[in-house]
Amino acid sequence: MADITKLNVYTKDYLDGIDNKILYGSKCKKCGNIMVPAKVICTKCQNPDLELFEIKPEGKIATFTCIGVGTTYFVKKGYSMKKPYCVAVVELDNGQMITGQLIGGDITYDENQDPLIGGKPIKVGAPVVGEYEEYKEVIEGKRGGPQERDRCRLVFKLK
Amino acid sequence: MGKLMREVAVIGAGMSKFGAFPDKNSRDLFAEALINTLQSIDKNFETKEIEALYLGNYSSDLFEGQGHLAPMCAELAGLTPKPASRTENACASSGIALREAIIAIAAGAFDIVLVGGVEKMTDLPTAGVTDTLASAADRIFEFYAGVTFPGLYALMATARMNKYGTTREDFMRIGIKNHKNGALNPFAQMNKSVAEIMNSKIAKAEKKGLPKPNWKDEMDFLHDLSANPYIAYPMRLFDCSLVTDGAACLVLTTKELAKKYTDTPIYIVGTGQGSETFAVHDRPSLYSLRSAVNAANMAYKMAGVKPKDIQIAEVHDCFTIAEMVAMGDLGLWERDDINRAVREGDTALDGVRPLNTSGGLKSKGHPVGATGVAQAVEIFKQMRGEAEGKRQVKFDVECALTHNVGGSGGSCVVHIYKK
Repeated sequence: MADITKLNVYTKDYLDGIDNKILYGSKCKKCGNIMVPAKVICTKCQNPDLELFEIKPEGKIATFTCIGVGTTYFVKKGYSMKKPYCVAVVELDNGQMITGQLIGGDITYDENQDPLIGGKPIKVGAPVVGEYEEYKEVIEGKRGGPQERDRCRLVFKLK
Repeated sequence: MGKLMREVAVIGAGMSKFGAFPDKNSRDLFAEALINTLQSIDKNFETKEIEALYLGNYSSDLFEGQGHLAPMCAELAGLTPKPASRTENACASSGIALREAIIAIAAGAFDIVLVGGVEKMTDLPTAGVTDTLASAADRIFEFYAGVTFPGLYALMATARMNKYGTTREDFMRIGIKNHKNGALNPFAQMNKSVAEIMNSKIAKAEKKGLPKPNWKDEMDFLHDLSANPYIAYPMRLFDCSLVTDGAACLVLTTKELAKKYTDTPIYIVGTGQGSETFAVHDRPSLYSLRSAVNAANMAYKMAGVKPKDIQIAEVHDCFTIAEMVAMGDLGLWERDDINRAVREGDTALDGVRPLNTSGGLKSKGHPVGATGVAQAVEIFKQMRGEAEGKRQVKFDVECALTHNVGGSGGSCVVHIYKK
Protein backbone atom coordinates (compact mmCIF):
# COMPACT_ATOMS: atom_id res chain seq x y z
CA MET A 1 0.00 0.00 0.00
CA ALA A 2 1.25 3.46 -0.88
CA ASP A 3 2.29 5.45 2.17
CA ILE A 4 1.09 8.89 1.13
CA THR A 5 2.89 10.53 4.08
CA LYS A 6 6.17 9.88 2.18
CA LEU A 7 5.12 12.30 -0.56
CA ASN A 8 8.15 14.46 -1.31
CA VAL A 9 7.79 15.79 -4.87
CA TYR A 10 5.13 18.37 -5.62
CA THR A 11 3.71 20.00 -8.78
CA LYS A 12 5.21 23.26 -7.48
CA ASP A 13 8.71 21.74 -7.80
CA TYR A 14 8.03 21.14 -11.49
CA LEU A 15 6.69 24.67 -12.06
CA ASP A 16 9.59 26.24 -10.12
CA GLY A 17 11.93 24.18 -12.31
CA ILE A 18 10.40 25.57 -15.51
CA ASP A 19 10.70 29.12 -14.10
CA ASN A 20 14.40 28.35 -13.55
CA LYS A 21 14.69 26.88 -17.07
CA ILE A 22 15.02 23.28 -15.92
CA LEU A 23 12.65 20.50 -17.04
CA TYR A 24 12.07 18.14 -14.14
CA GLY A 25 10.74 14.66 -14.26
CA SER A 26 10.43 12.53 -11.18
CA LYS A 27 12.15 9.21 -10.59
CA CYS A 28 10.70 6.50 -8.37
CA LYS A 29 13.17 5.55 -5.65
CA LYS A 30 11.63 2.06 -5.54
CA CYS A 31 11.17 0.94 -9.16
CA GLY A 32 13.22 3.52 -11.06
CA ASN A 33 10.25 4.64 -13.23
CA ILE A 34 10.87 8.07 -14.77
CA MET A 35 7.86 10.38 -15.17
CA VAL A 36 7.69 13.65 -17.11
CA PRO A 37 6.24 16.15 -16.30
CA ALA A 38 7.19 15.40 -12.69
CA LYS A 39 4.45 13.36 -11.00
CA VAL A 40 3.87 13.15 -7.27
CA ILE A 41 3.14 9.40 -7.06
CA CYS A 42 4.79 6.67 -9.16
CA THR A 43 2.53 5.87 -12.11
CA LYS A 44 3.84 2.27 -12.14
CA CYS A 45 4.03 1.20 -8.47
CA GLN A 46 2.13 4.03 -6.67
CA ASN A 47 5.15 4.71 -4.45
CA PRO A 48 5.11 8.36 -3.28
CA ASP A 49 8.84 8.40 -2.45
CA LEU A 50 10.26 10.06 -5.56
CA GLU A 51 13.17 12.30 -6.46
CA LEU A 52 13.41 15.10 -9.01
CA PHE A 53 15.23 14.14 -12.16
CA GLU A 54 16.49 16.62 -14.74
CA ILE A 55 15.50 15.87 -18.35
CA LYS A 56 16.78 17.38 -21.58
CA PRO A 57 13.81 18.99 -23.36
CA GLU A 58 14.50 17.25 -26.67
CA GLY A 59 12.56 14.72 -28.65
CA LYS A 60 10.16 14.33 -31.56
CA ILE A 61 6.60 15.38 -32.35
CA ALA A 62 4.15 12.63 -31.27
CA THR A 63 1.10 14.60 -32.40
CA PHE A 64 0.16 18.24 -32.94
CA THR A 65 -2.62 20.72 -33.70
CA CYS A 66 -2.73 24.26 -35.11
CA ILE A 67 -5.25 26.30 -33.17
CA GLY A 68 -7.34 29.05 -34.77
CA VAL A 69 -9.75 29.70 -31.89
CA GLY A 70 -7.41 30.05 -28.93
CA THR A 71 -7.64 30.55 -25.20
CA THR A 72 -7.98 34.10 -23.87
CA TYR A 73 -4.24 34.24 -23.05
CA PHE A 74 -3.27 33.37 -26.62
CA VAL A 75 -5.93 35.62 -28.17
CA LYS A 76 -4.46 38.50 -26.12
CA LYS A 77 -1.03 37.58 -27.53
CA GLY A 78 -2.44 38.30 -30.99
CA TYR A 79 -3.33 34.82 -32.22
CA SER A 80 -6.52 34.36 -34.25
CA MET A 81 -8.09 32.34 -37.08
CA LYS A 82 -5.85 34.34 -39.43
CA LYS A 83 -2.80 33.82 -37.20
CA PRO A 84 -3.03 30.32 -35.69
CA TYR A 85 -0.52 28.81 -33.25
CA CYS A 86 0.76 25.26 -33.07
CA VAL A 87 0.74 23.04 -29.98
CA ALA A 88 2.61 19.74 -30.02
CA VAL A 89 2.77 16.71 -27.80
CA VAL A 90 6.49 15.94 -27.76
CA GLU A 91 7.87 12.49 -27.07
CA LEU A 92 11.09 13.11 -25.16
CA ASP A 93 14.16 10.99 -25.68
CA ASN A 94 13.26 8.80 -22.68
CA GLY A 95 9.80 8.04 -24.15
CA GLN A 96 7.80 10.34 -21.86
CA MET A 97 5.49 12.94 -23.39
CA ILE A 98 4.86 16.62 -22.68
CA THR A 99 2.69 19.34 -24.25
CA GLY A 100 4.08 22.67 -25.44
CA GLN A 101 3.71 25.36 -28.07
CA LEU A 102 5.75 24.87 -31.25
CA ILE A 103 7.31 28.20 -32.18
CA GLY A 104 9.46 29.27 -35.13
CA GLY A 105 7.34 31.37 -37.48
CA ASP A 106 3.83 31.91 -38.73
CA ILE A 107 1.50 28.98 -39.36
CA THR A 108 0.32 28.75 -42.98
CA TYR A 109 -1.34 26.01 -45.02
CA ASP A 110 0.09 24.51 -48.21
CA GLU A 111 -1.93 23.56 -51.33
CA ASN A 112 -2.94 20.26 -49.68
CA GLN A 113 -4.21 22.24 -46.68
CA ASP A 114 -1.43 20.81 -44.49
CA PRO A 115 0.24 23.14 -42.00
CA LEU A 116 3.66 24.79 -42.26
CA ILE A 117 5.55 26.69 -39.57
CA GLY A 118 7.88 29.38 -40.90
CA GLY A 119 7.45 27.70 -44.31
CA LYS A 120 8.52 24.24 -43.04
CA PRO A 121 6.04 21.33 -42.90
CA ILE A 122 4.96 20.15 -39.44
CA LYS A 123 5.11 16.36 -39.31
CA VAL A 124 4.66 13.67 -36.68
CA GLY A 125 8.13 12.33 -35.90
CA ALA A 126 9.95 15.62 -36.63
CA PRO A 127 12.79 16.25 -34.14
CA VAL A 128 12.30 19.25 -31.85
CA VAL A 129 14.26 20.99 -29.14
CA GLY A 130 12.85 22.91 -26.16
CA GLU A 131 13.56 26.43 -25.05
CA TYR A 132 12.20 28.66 -22.32
CA GLU A 133 10.08 31.69 -23.15
CA GLU A 134 10.07 34.38 -20.46
CA TYR A 135 6.90 36.24 -19.58
CA LYS A 136 5.42 38.34 -16.79
CA GLU A 137 2.54 36.85 -14.82
CA VAL A 138 0.21 39.35 -13.21
CA ILE A 139 -1.03 38.20 -9.81
CA GLU A 140 -3.99 39.94 -8.21
CA GLY A 141 -2.32 40.92 -4.93
CA LYS A 142 -4.40 41.16 -1.79
CA ARG A 143 -2.74 44.40 -0.76
CA GLY A 144 -1.21 47.08 -2.94
CA GLY A 145 -2.91 45.95 -6.16
CA PRO A 146 -1.71 43.52 -8.85
CA GLN A 147 1.89 42.33 -8.76
CA GLU A 148 4.13 41.07 -11.56
CA ARG A 149 6.12 37.85 -11.37
CA ASP A 150 8.79 36.54 -13.77
CA ARG A 151 7.74 33.21 -15.21
CA CYS A 152 8.86 30.85 -17.99
CA ARG A 153 7.02 28.59 -20.42
CA LEU A 154 8.56 25.56 -22.07
CA VAL A 155 8.15 25.85 -25.86
CA PHE A 156 9.61 23.79 -28.71
CA LYS A 157 11.28 24.52 -32.07
CA LEU A 158 11.88 22.25 -35.04
CA LYS A 159 15.53 21.09 -35.01
CA MET B 1 -19.10 -6.44 -7.74
CA GLY B 2 -20.69 -5.56 -11.03
CA LYS B 3 -24.28 -6.64 -10.40
CA LEU B 4 -27.38 -4.50 -9.83
CA MET B 5 -29.36 -5.77 -6.82
CA ARG B 6 -32.63 -4.62 -8.45
CA GLU B 7 -33.35 -4.17 -12.15
CA VAL B 8 -33.95 -0.60 -13.31
CA ALA B 9 -36.37 0.66 -15.97
CA VAL B 10 -36.87 3.95 -17.81
CA ILE B 11 -40.59 4.86 -17.93
CA GLY B 12 -40.36 8.39 -19.31
CA ALA B 13 -37.86 10.43 -21.30
CA GLY B 14 -37.87 13.87 -22.85
CA MET B 15 -35.75 16.85 -23.79
CA SER B 16 -36.08 20.54 -24.47
CA LYS B 17 -35.49 21.88 -27.94
CA PHE B 18 -31.70 22.29 -28.26
CA GLY B 19 -30.38 25.60 -29.60
CA ALA B 20 -29.26 29.10 -28.68
CA PHE B 21 -32.00 30.78 -26.66
CA PRO B 22 -31.07 34.25 -25.36
CA ASP B 23 -34.39 34.49 -23.49
CA LYS B 24 -34.23 31.13 -21.67
CA ASN B 25 -32.21 30.26 -18.55
CA SER B 26 -31.49 26.89 -16.91
CA ARG B 27 -34.86 26.87 -15.15
CA ASP B 28 -36.79 27.37 -18.39
CA LEU B 29 -34.78 24.68 -20.20
CA PHE B 30 -35.20 22.19 -17.35
CA ALA B 31 -38.95 22.90 -17.16
CA GLU B 32 -39.36 22.29 -20.90
CA ALA B 33 -37.50 18.96 -20.66
CA LEU B 34 -39.47 17.92 -17.56
CA ILE B 35 -42.85 18.65 -19.19
CA ASN B 36 -41.91 16.59 -22.26
CA THR B 37 -40.71 13.78 -19.99
CA LEU B 38 -43.89 13.67 -17.91
CA GLN B 39 -45.96 13.69 -21.11
CA SER B 40 -44.03 10.65 -22.36
CA ILE B 41 -45.21 8.49 -19.43
CA ASP B 42 -48.02 6.37 -20.81
CA LYS B 43 -50.18 5.78 -17.73
CA ASN B 44 -51.16 7.95 -14.79
CA PHE B 45 -48.10 9.36 -13.02
CA GLU B 46 -47.78 12.19 -10.54
CA THR B 47 -44.57 14.06 -9.77
CA LYS B 48 -45.18 13.56 -6.06
CA GLU B 49 -44.24 9.90 -6.62
CA ILE B 50 -40.65 11.00 -7.40
CA GLU B 51 -38.36 10.48 -4.39
CA ALA B 52 -35.14 12.21 -5.49
CA LEU B 53 -33.46 14.20 -8.26
CA TYR B 54 -30.01 13.52 -9.73
CA LEU B 55 -28.99 16.42 -11.96
CA GLY B 56 -25.99 16.64 -14.28
CA ASN B 57 -24.56 20.10 -14.87
CA TYR B 58 -21.02 21.03 -15.84
CA SER B 59 -20.57 24.69 -15.11
CA SER B 60 -23.64 26.86 -14.70
CA ASP B 61 -21.39 28.63 -12.18
CA LEU B 62 -19.16 30.01 -14.97
CA PHE B 63 -21.68 29.96 -17.84
CA GLU B 64 -24.50 31.74 -15.99
CA GLY B 65 -23.13 32.82 -12.62
CA GLN B 66 -25.56 30.42 -10.94
CA GLY B 67 -24.33 27.41 -9.01
CA HIS B 68 -26.10 24.75 -6.91
CA LEU B 69 -28.69 23.89 -9.56
CA ALA B 70 -30.06 20.65 -8.10
CA PRO B 71 -32.33 22.12 -5.38
CA MET B 72 -33.32 24.88 -7.80
CA CYS B 73 -34.54 22.35 -10.36
CA ALA B 74 -36.07 20.13 -7.66
CA GLU B 75 -38.13 23.09 -6.49
CA LEU B 76 -39.31 23.65 -10.05
CA ALA B 77 -40.39 20.01 -10.25
CA GLY B 78 -42.28 20.35 -6.95
CA LEU B 79 -39.91 17.97 -5.16
CA THR B 80 -38.86 20.20 -2.23
CA PRO B 81 -37.89 19.00 0.48
CA LYS B 82 -36.76 15.73 -1.17
CA PRO B 83 -33.07 14.99 -1.85
CA ALA B 84 -31.56 16.72 -4.90
CA SER B 85 -27.93 16.25 -5.95
CA ARG B 86 -25.79 17.64 -8.75
CA THR B 87 -23.06 15.61 -10.45
CA GLU B 88 -20.14 17.22 -12.29
CA ASN B 89 -17.84 15.22 -14.58
CA ALA B 90 -17.46 17.79 -17.39
CA CYS B 91 -19.40 16.66 -20.50
CA ALA B 92 -20.24 13.34 -18.80
CA SER B 93 -22.03 15.10 -15.92
CA SER B 94 -25.52 13.79 -16.67
CA GLY B 95 -24.33 10.34 -17.80
CA ILE B 96 -22.89 10.08 -14.30
CA ALA B 97 -26.17 11.43 -12.81
CA LEU B 98 -27.96 8.59 -14.62
CA ARG B 99 -25.47 6.04 -13.28
CA GLU B 100 -25.77 7.33 -9.70
CA ALA B 101 -29.58 7.20 -9.95
CA ILE B 102 -29.44 3.62 -11.23
CA ILE B 103 -27.15 2.62 -8.36
CA ALA B 104 -29.48 4.32 -5.83
CA ILE B 105 -32.52 2.43 -7.16
CA ALA B 106 -30.63 -0.85 -7.43
CA ALA B 107 -29.46 -0.42 -3.82
CA GLY B 108 -33.04 0.07 -2.66
CA ALA B 109 -32.53 3.68 -1.50
CA PHE B 110 -35.34 4.91 -3.77
CA ASP B 111 -38.04 3.40 -6.02
CA ILE B 112 -38.68 6.34 -8.35
CA VAL B 113 -36.03 8.88 -9.33
CA LEU B 114 -35.93 11.85 -11.69
CA VAL B 115 -32.65 12.20 -13.61
CA GLY B 116 -31.86 15.43 -15.41
CA GLY B 117 -29.15 17.29 -17.24
CA VAL B 118 -29.02 20.98 -18.09
CA GLU B 119 -26.57 23.51 -19.51
CA LYS B 120 -27.04 27.11 -20.61
CA MET B 121 -23.91 27.98 -22.61
CA THR B 122 -24.71 30.81 -24.99
CA ASP B 123 -24.67 33.76 -22.59
CA LEU B 124 -20.86 34.00 -22.75
CA PRO B 125 -18.79 35.27 -25.70
CA THR B 126 -16.77 32.63 -27.63
CA ALA B 127 -13.53 33.21 -25.67
CA GLY B 128 -15.44 32.76 -22.39
CA VAL B 129 -17.01 29.51 -23.62
CA THR B 130 -13.57 28.32 -24.83
CA ASP B 131 -12.00 29.07 -21.44
CA THR B 132 -14.87 27.50 -19.47
CA LEU B 133 -14.70 24.29 -21.51
CA ALA B 134 -10.89 24.29 -21.35
CA SER B 135 -11.13 24.33 -17.56
CA ALA B 136 -12.14 20.66 -17.84
CA ALA B 137 -8.67 20.01 -19.30
CA ASP B 138 -5.38 20.04 -17.38
CA ARG B 139 -4.81 23.68 -16.49
CA ILE B 140 -1.10 23.45 -15.68
CA PHE B 141 0.11 20.96 -18.26
CA GLU B 142 -2.23 21.63 -21.22
CA PHE B 143 -4.15 24.90 -20.91
CA TYR B 144 -0.99 26.94 -20.21
CA ALA B 145 0.55 25.43 -23.35
CA GLY B 146 -2.39 26.90 -25.30
CA VAL B 147 -4.50 23.78 -25.81
CA THR B 148 -8.23 24.31 -26.27
CA PHE B 149 -10.92 21.63 -26.24
CA PRO B 150 -11.02 21.27 -30.03
CA GLY B 151 -7.20 21.24 -29.75
CA LEU B 152 -7.19 18.19 -27.44
CA TYR B 153 -9.33 16.17 -29.84
CA ALA B 154 -7.28 17.52 -32.76
CA LEU B 155 -4.22 15.96 -31.08
CA MET B 156 -6.07 12.61 -31.15
CA ALA B 157 -7.10 13.21 -34.78
CA THR B 158 -3.54 13.89 -35.95
CA ALA B 159 -2.37 10.78 -34.08
CA ARG B 160 -5.07 8.60 -35.68
CA MET B 161 -4.34 10.00 -39.17
CA ASN B 162 -0.69 9.15 -38.67
CA LYS B 163 -1.33 5.64 -37.32
CA TYR B 164 -4.28 4.41 -39.42
CA GLY B 165 -4.26 6.58 -42.54
CA THR B 166 -7.51 8.27 -41.56
CA THR B 167 -8.10 11.26 -43.85
CA ARG B 168 -9.74 14.62 -43.27
CA GLU B 169 -12.47 13.37 -45.67
CA ASP B 170 -13.26 10.57 -43.19
CA PHE B 171 -13.92 13.19 -40.52
CA MET B 172 -16.09 15.11 -43.01
CA ARG B 173 -18.11 11.95 -43.75
CA ILE B 174 -18.99 11.65 -40.06
CA GLY B 175 -20.11 15.30 -39.96
CA ILE B 176 -22.23 14.88 -43.09
CA LYS B 177 -23.85 11.72 -41.66
CA ASN B 178 -24.67 13.29 -38.29
CA HIS B 179 -26.07 16.45 -39.88
CA LYS B 180 -28.24 14.26 -42.12
CA ASN B 181 -29.68 12.55 -39.02
CA GLY B 182 -30.05 15.81 -37.13
CA ALA B 183 -31.99 17.29 -40.06
CA LEU B 184 -34.69 14.72 -39.23
CA ASN B 185 -34.75 15.55 -35.49
CA PRO B 186 -37.11 18.41 -34.56
CA PHE B 187 -35.28 18.84 -31.23
CA ALA B 188 -31.87 19.33 -32.90
CA GLN B 189 -30.09 22.69 -32.84
CA MET B 190 -28.83 22.42 -36.44
CA ASN B 191 -31.61 20.41 -38.00
CA LYS B 192 -30.16 20.95 -41.45
CA SER B 193 -28.04 18.70 -43.63
CA VAL B 194 -24.64 19.99 -44.77
CA ALA B 195 -26.13 20.27 -48.31
CA GLU B 196 -28.93 22.48 -46.97
CA ILE B 197 -26.42 24.69 -45.15
CA MET B 198 -24.31 24.92 -48.32
CA ASN B 199 -27.33 25.86 -50.44
CA SER B 200 -28.48 28.49 -47.98
CA LYS B 201 -24.99 30.05 -48.10
CA ILE B 202 -25.13 30.11 -51.91
CA ALA B 203 -28.58 31.73 -51.78
CA LYS B 204 -27.32 34.29 -49.25
CA ALA B 205 -24.35 35.21 -51.46
CA GLU B 206 -26.65 35.64 -54.47
CA LYS B 207 -29.04 37.81 -52.50
CA LYS B 208 -26.19 40.07 -51.39
CA GLY B 209 -24.91 40.30 -54.98
CA LEU B 210 -21.63 38.57 -54.01
CA PRO B 211 -19.86 36.16 -56.37
CA LYS B 212 -21.70 32.82 -56.32
CA PRO B 213 -19.56 30.12 -54.64
CA ASN B 214 -18.95 27.22 -57.02
CA TRP B 215 -19.10 24.30 -54.57
CA LYS B 216 -19.84 21.11 -56.52
CA ASP B 217 -21.13 19.09 -53.58
CA GLU B 218 -21.03 18.76 -49.77
CA MET B 219 -17.44 17.44 -49.81
CA ASP B 220 -16.31 20.31 -52.02
CA PHE B 221 -18.00 22.79 -49.67
CA LEU B 222 -16.32 21.20 -46.63
CA HIS B 223 -12.90 21.37 -48.34
CA ASP B 224 -13.21 25.15 -48.76
CA LEU B 225 -11.13 26.72 -45.99
CA SER B 226 -13.16 29.93 -46.13
CA ALA B 227 -16.43 28.04 -45.57
CA ASN B 228 -14.99 25.38 -43.26
CA PRO B 229 -11.86 26.75 -41.54
CA TYR B 230 -9.57 24.89 -39.16
CA ILE B 231 -10.68 25.57 -35.59
CA ALA B 232 -7.80 23.34 -34.50
CA TYR B 233 -6.06 21.54 -37.37
CA PRO B 234 -7.10 18.92 -38.47
CA MET B 235 -10.50 19.64 -36.87
CA ARG B 236 -12.52 22.17 -38.84
CA LEU B 237 -15.69 24.08 -38.04
CA PHE B 238 -17.87 21.22 -39.32
CA ASP B 239 -15.92 18.71 -37.21
CA CYS B 240 -16.88 20.47 -33.97
CA SER B 241 -20.04 20.08 -31.92
CA LEU B 242 -22.07 23.15 -31.13
CA VAL B 243 -22.38 25.59 -28.26
CA THR B 244 -25.87 24.84 -27.05
CA ASP B 245 -28.57 25.59 -24.48
CA GLY B 246 -30.65 22.58 -23.52
CA ALA B 247 -31.94 20.11 -20.96
CA ALA B 248 -33.10 16.50 -20.85
CA CYS B 249 -34.82 14.26 -18.26
CA LEU B 250 -35.60 10.62 -17.53
CA VAL B 251 -37.84 8.96 -14.95
CA LEU B 252 -36.41 5.72 -13.56
CA THR B 253 -38.03 3.07 -11.44
CA THR B 254 -37.73 -0.63 -10.62
CA LYS B 255 -38.64 -3.40 -13.03
CA GLU B 256 -41.56 -4.37 -10.77
CA LEU B 257 -43.07 -0.87 -10.57
CA ALA B 258 -42.45 0.02 -14.23
CA LYS B 259 -45.51 -1.82 -15.58
CA LYS B 260 -47.76 0.37 -13.45
CA TYR B 261 -46.71 3.34 -15.58
CA THR B 262 -46.15 1.88 -19.05
CA ASP B 263 -46.52 -1.35 -21.02
CA THR B 264 -43.26 -0.66 -22.81
CA PRO B 265 -40.52 0.29 -20.33
CA ILE B 266 -36.89 0.24 -21.44
CA TYR B 267 -34.54 -1.59 -19.09
CA ILE B 268 -31.04 -0.42 -18.28
CA VAL B 269 -29.18 -3.70 -18.00
CA GLY B 270 -25.61 -2.45 -17.79
CA THR B 271 -23.79 0.57 -16.43
CA GLY B 272 -20.05 1.18 -16.43
CA GLN B 273 -17.70 4.04 -15.72
CA GLY B 274 -14.00 4.68 -16.09
CA SER B 275 -11.30 7.30 -15.81
CA GLU B 276 -8.27 8.25 -17.89
CA THR B 277 -5.22 10.40 -17.19
CA PHE B 278 -6.09 14.08 -17.09
CA ALA B 279 -3.57 15.18 -19.70
CA VAL B 280 -3.58 13.62 -23.17
CA HIS B 281 0.25 13.39 -23.17
CA ASP B 282 0.21 10.94 -20.23
CA ARG B 283 -1.78 8.28 -22.10
CA PRO B 284 -0.34 5.06 -23.52
CA SER B 285 -2.45 5.58 -26.66
CA LEU B 286 -3.22 8.93 -28.27
CA TYR B 287 -6.32 7.60 -30.11
CA SER B 288 -8.02 5.51 -27.42
CA LEU B 289 -9.47 6.30 -23.99
CA ARG B 290 -8.98 3.76 -21.23
CA SER B 291 -11.93 5.38 -19.44
CA ALA B 292 -14.20 4.30 -22.31
CA VAL B 293 -12.68 0.83 -22.66
CA ASN B 294 -13.11 0.25 -18.92
CA ALA B 295 -16.66 1.69 -18.83
CA ALA B 296 -17.67 -0.45 -21.81
CA ASN B 297 -16.19 -3.65 -20.41
CA MET B 298 -17.93 -3.05 -17.08
CA ALA B 299 -21.28 -2.39 -18.78
CA TYR B 300 -21.01 -5.33 -21.22
CA LYS B 301 -20.16 -7.70 -18.37
CA MET B 302 -23.05 -6.49 -16.20
CA ALA B 303 -25.49 -6.71 -19.11
CA GLY B 304 -24.17 -10.07 -20.29
CA VAL B 305 -23.95 -8.81 -23.87
CA LYS B 306 -21.15 -8.52 -26.43
CA PRO B 307 -20.35 -5.59 -28.74
CA LYS B 308 -21.88 -7.54 -31.66
CA ASP B 309 -25.26 -7.47 -29.86
CA ILE B 310 -25.42 -3.65 -29.95
CA GLN B 311 -27.77 -2.62 -32.78
CA ILE B 312 -27.68 1.17 -32.39
CA ALA B 313 -25.66 3.55 -30.20
CA GLU B 314 -25.49 7.19 -29.27
CA VAL B 315 -21.77 7.94 -28.94
CA HIS B 316 -20.06 11.10 -27.70
CA ASP B 317 -19.15 12.87 -30.98
CA CYS B 318 -18.10 16.19 -29.46
CA PHE B 319 -15.73 16.20 -32.44
CA THR B 320 -15.89 13.94 -35.48
CA ILE B 321 -12.66 12.18 -34.40
CA ALA B 322 -14.38 11.32 -31.09
CA GLU B 323 -16.91 9.14 -32.95
CA MET B 324 -14.01 7.14 -34.45
CA VAL B 325 -12.32 6.83 -31.04
CA ALA B 326 -15.65 5.58 -29.60
CA MET B 327 -16.15 3.01 -32.37
CA GLY B 328 -12.86 1.38 -31.40
CA ASP B 329 -13.05 1.79 -27.62
CA LEU B 330 -16.54 0.23 -27.47
CA GLY B 331 -15.33 -2.73 -29.55
CA LEU B 332 -18.05 -2.06 -32.14
CA TRP B 333 -15.48 -2.10 -34.96
CA GLU B 334 -11.84 -3.19 -35.06
CA ARG B 335 -9.63 -0.11 -34.91
CA ASP B 336 -8.11 -0.82 -38.33
CA ASP B 337 -11.60 -1.32 -39.84
CA ILE B 338 -13.01 2.05 -38.75
CA ASN B 339 -11.91 4.03 -41.84
CA ARG B 340 -13.68 1.48 -44.04
CA ALA B 341 -16.80 1.49 -41.85
CA VAL B 342 -17.03 5.27 -42.10
CA ARG B 343 -16.40 5.30 -45.87
CA GLU B 344 -18.93 2.53 -46.62
CA GLY B 345 -21.71 3.94 -44.42
CA ASP B 346 -21.83 1.19 -41.75
CA THR B 347 -22.87 3.87 -39.23
CA ALA B 348 -25.54 5.63 -41.37
CA LEU B 349 -29.25 5.56 -40.50
CA ASP B 350 -29.66 2.70 -43.03
CA GLY B 351 -26.28 1.11 -42.24
CA VAL B 352 -25.48 -2.10 -40.39
CA ARG B 353 -25.20 -0.32 -37.04
CA PRO B 354 -26.52 3.27 -37.01
CA LEU B 355 -24.61 5.64 -34.73
CA ASN B 356 -26.07 8.91 -33.47
CA THR B 357 -29.50 8.69 -35.07
CA SER B 358 -30.34 11.85 -33.10
CA GLY B 359 -27.77 13.84 -35.06
CA GLY B 360 -25.28 13.45 -32.24
CA LEU B 361 -23.55 16.27 -30.45
CA LYS B 362 -22.48 17.55 -33.85
CA SER B 363 -25.94 18.40 -35.12
CA LYS B 364 -28.41 17.87 -32.27
CA GLY B 365 -26.17 20.10 -30.15
CA HIS B 366 -24.00 19.68 -27.05
CA PRO B 367 -25.28 21.44 -23.93
CA VAL B 368 -22.50 19.67 -22.05
CA GLY B 369 -24.28 18.82 -18.79
CA ALA B 370 -27.43 17.65 -20.60
CA THR B 371 -25.76 15.47 -23.22
CA GLY B 372 -25.57 12.16 -21.33
CA VAL B 373 -29.28 12.13 -20.51
CA ALA B 374 -30.23 13.40 -23.97
CA GLN B 375 -28.44 10.35 -25.45
CA ALA B 376 -30.64 8.09 -23.30
CA VAL B 377 -33.73 10.02 -24.45
CA GLU B 378 -32.90 9.15 -28.09
CA ILE B 379 -32.38 5.47 -27.26
CA PHE B 380 -35.71 5.38 -25.33
CA LYS B 381 -37.53 6.79 -28.37
CA GLN B 382 -35.77 4.55 -30.90
CA MET B 383 -36.37 1.37 -28.87
CA ARG B 384 -40.07 2.19 -28.52
CA GLY B 385 -40.41 3.11 -32.21
CA GLU B 386 -41.25 6.69 -31.28
CA ALA B 387 -38.41 8.69 -32.87
CA GLU B 388 -39.88 11.73 -34.60
CA GLY B 389 -39.45 12.53 -38.26
CA LYS B 390 -37.96 9.92 -40.53
CA ARG B 391 -35.03 9.06 -38.28
CA GLN B 392 -36.74 6.02 -36.69
CA VAL B 393 -34.57 3.03 -37.62
CA LYS B 394 -36.28 0.44 -39.80
CA PHE B 395 -35.63 -2.56 -37.56
CA ASP B 396 -36.73 -3.58 -34.08
CA VAL B 397 -34.08 -2.45 -31.58
CA GLU B 398 -33.63 -5.02 -28.82
CA CYS B 399 -30.26 -3.84 -27.50
CA ALA B 400 -28.66 -0.39 -27.58
CA LEU B 401 -25.84 1.58 -25.96
CA THR B 402 -24.96 5.13 -24.90
CA HIS B 403 -21.38 6.41 -24.49
CA ASN B 404 -20.82 9.74 -22.72
CA VAL B 405 -17.32 11.19 -22.33
CA GLY B 406 -16.19 13.92 -19.94
CA GLY B 407 -13.41 16.32 -20.85
CA SER B 408 -10.81 14.94 -23.21
CA GLY B 409 -11.60 11.47 -21.86
CA GLY B 410 -10.83 11.83 -18.15
CA SER B 411 -14.32 10.45 -17.49
CA CYS B 412 -16.50 8.06 -19.45
CA VAL B 413 -19.80 6.37 -18.67
CA VAL B 414 -21.50 3.67 -20.76
CA HIS B 415 -25.06 2.33 -20.46
CA ILE B 416 -26.70 -0.65 -22.15
CA TYR B 417 -30.45 -0.85 -22.74
CA LYS B 418 -32.83 -3.74 -23.49
CA LYS B 419 -36.57 -4.04 -24.04
